[in-house]
Amino acid sequence: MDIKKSMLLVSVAVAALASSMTAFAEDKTPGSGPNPYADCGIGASLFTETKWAAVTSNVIWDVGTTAITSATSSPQTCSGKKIVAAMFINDTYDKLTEETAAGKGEHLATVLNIFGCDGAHQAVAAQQVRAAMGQSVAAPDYVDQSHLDKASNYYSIVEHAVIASCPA
Amino acid sequence: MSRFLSGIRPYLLVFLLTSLVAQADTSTQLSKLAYEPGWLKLGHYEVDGASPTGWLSAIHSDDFFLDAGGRSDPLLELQATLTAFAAPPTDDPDKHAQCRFPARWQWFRARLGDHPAFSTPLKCPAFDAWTRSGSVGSLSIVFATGYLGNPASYYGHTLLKFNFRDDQAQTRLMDVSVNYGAIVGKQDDTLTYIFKSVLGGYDGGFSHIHFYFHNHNYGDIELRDLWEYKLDLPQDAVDLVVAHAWEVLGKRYTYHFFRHNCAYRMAEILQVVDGLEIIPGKWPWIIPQAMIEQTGLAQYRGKSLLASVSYLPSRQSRFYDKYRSLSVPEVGLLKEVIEKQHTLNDPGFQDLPTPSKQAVLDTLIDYYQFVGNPLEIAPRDTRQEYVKALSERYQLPPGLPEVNSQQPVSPHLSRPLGWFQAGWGHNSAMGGVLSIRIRPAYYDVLDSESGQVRNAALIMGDIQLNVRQGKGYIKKLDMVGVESVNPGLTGLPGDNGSAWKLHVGVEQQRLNCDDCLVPRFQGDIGYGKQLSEHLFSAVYVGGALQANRADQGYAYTKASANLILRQSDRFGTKLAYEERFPVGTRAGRYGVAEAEARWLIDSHTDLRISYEHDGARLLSIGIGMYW
Repeated sequence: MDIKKSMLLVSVAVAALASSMTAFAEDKTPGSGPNPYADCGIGASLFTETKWAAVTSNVIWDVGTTAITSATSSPQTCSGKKIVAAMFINDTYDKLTEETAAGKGEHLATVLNIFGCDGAHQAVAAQQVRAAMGQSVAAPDYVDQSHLDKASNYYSIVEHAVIASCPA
Repeated sequence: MSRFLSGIRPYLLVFLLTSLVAQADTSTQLSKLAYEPGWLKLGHYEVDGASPTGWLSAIHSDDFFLDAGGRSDPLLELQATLTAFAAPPTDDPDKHAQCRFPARWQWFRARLGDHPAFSTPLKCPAFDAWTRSGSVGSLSIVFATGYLGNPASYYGHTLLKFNFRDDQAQTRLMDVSVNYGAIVGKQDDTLTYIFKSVLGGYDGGFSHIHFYFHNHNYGDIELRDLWEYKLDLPQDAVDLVVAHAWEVLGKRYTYHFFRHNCAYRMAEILQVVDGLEIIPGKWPWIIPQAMIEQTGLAQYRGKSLLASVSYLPSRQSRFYDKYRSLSVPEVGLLKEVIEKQHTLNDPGFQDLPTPSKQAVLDTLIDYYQFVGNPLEIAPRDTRQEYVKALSERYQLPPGLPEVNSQQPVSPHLSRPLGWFQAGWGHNSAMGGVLSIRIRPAYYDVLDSESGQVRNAALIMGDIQLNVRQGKGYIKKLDMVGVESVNPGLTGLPGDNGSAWKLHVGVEQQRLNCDDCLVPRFQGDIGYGKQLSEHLFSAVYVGGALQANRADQGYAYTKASANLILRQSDRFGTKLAYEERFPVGTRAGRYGVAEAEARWLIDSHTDLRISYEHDGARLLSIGIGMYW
């Protein structure tokens, strides 16, 4: 492939990415912040590192510090709390969705805590998350969605539920 | 006045500390301090004959030392530390010695009492953020049980976990875990990894991450049960350990698989607490479970070190618990759905009461996670069935059905790991023989316990010496022996009991010869099944490479089967038969039959009776002691 074609492909890819991120940013509940998966620049590359570590038992090295360094170098609008929530959802997505289906669990409580929803309001927020996730999981294309897309969707659902159910 | 004091505080501190150094420098006080066990532990100094001082730090990162000669001279490092503590703070307090070495600061402060020089510690933003403003309330050791899928994890793994106080921690998943491991290049294959980790070819170091990461990695990816041992330590000890962990994060050691491994280095961090001893000292190697046993026995300030023990079952254990909790009709329905004889839309499922539906769906969800592991890269059909079960679960009311969990015995209560056996036997070809057998670690198919893989074996350095008519000889030496089986408890598709064996060592060619020692490399793959609660069976095909002695050939192929019957926790029996087909020789095929019964007399003693037949016959009885 020559350089011109490569440049063209890169340009198209960047334009497509930019338009998809813009579309994502416009579809937000008032009061909600950026979605770290799309807006804070943490994405596949960071999580690829984490996945590598996940299958290399006993030899992980610096995963935590690397991830945290990357996270805190993100824009100011992407606070550490959002990055922590995004990483937690990405790393434990299956457990979260299963506990959400059951209505309770340690992972579900943790993600609500990270979003700042205290125990008194968690039951209501969990109900809302459950209702929205029930629809997401039932969607015909759910099984073929990428892990990152599913995690991103869960993040948005929890964020909306917390805004609606948990006083700031 | 307070503003004035605040302004001169740094200079006052410099003055006091400088004075302190000046006073002590010419005395023996500093020398004495520099060789106190506490200081040597904080510097990870180890005895080293080649060092001019006789000491050398195990850490070889330059930035762990404040003096260029500090790695080999504890006194130089101590003096440099005092001087650095006295230096005025800069714009970046995190770079100040107090903030880089908070445990050293605490250690000095504890020794120099209420001296004003140590009464006003600097604010350290990075350290404060890591400790969430000093809110670590307790410490836990987390033990991941053995995993035969990765040689590095055969013997289990240990982590250190910082438990934040309830109002800060949110849940334990957000606690911080500190993990020691080899720093391995991605390009190294398994064999390279084994050799380099045994021979010190890798650096090792500590990393840190939220506990949920390890909880997920071990429990859901590698399917290993976790045990959390919460320690009963006073707050000052907790603070010292946390501060020291901060000092060594990112620093490089030399990794050694057998001793300077995860268990040893993690225990070292804890042992900076004066009077705390949890590194087993009786052998030159450290096995994580032995360290856990030692932790269970340890006392601190006159009381047990252990505050509590928690069990965190793996995905596989949770799946088995849920499966065992189903009623017979529910199990039948589960199998029919998995085998696609019925769907979740059929009346057979839809007519069930809600708790039954929940129980079947939760088991299905765990089943697909288990057989698809990791589900993310499982075949689409598996993922689709998982999503169907999950989606159906969302349609039901929330709630958790009752599950009867079978919590195993805590690994810290298991038998000791080394084994010695003295026995007598009668060989049909050679008469009576005395035997001595020593197995430093770890377990065989009859004595695997909690924290180990059931019906499996993990052996290193198992040697059997026989004496006949005053002449001694090696009957068998297993340098490495691994027998891995998936229990296949449910018999559901995918829970199929895949099994494999690997043995490397030397042994007598046949029972009728005591001078026919041959090196052998054996490998088998097979299939195992839990036939009932007490009975496990497996069949294998495999082969062996060996030296050609007595015209037995350089290799043989083989087919084998075994039955393991566990009548109770104390009594077990193994029956095995192997048919061998020699290659490249005129020697004909032959069979090897074995039977062995084991009775655990008490936690340290067992009695075994065995019978072997390969043409000649050997009947043996031996008394074994665990140490």
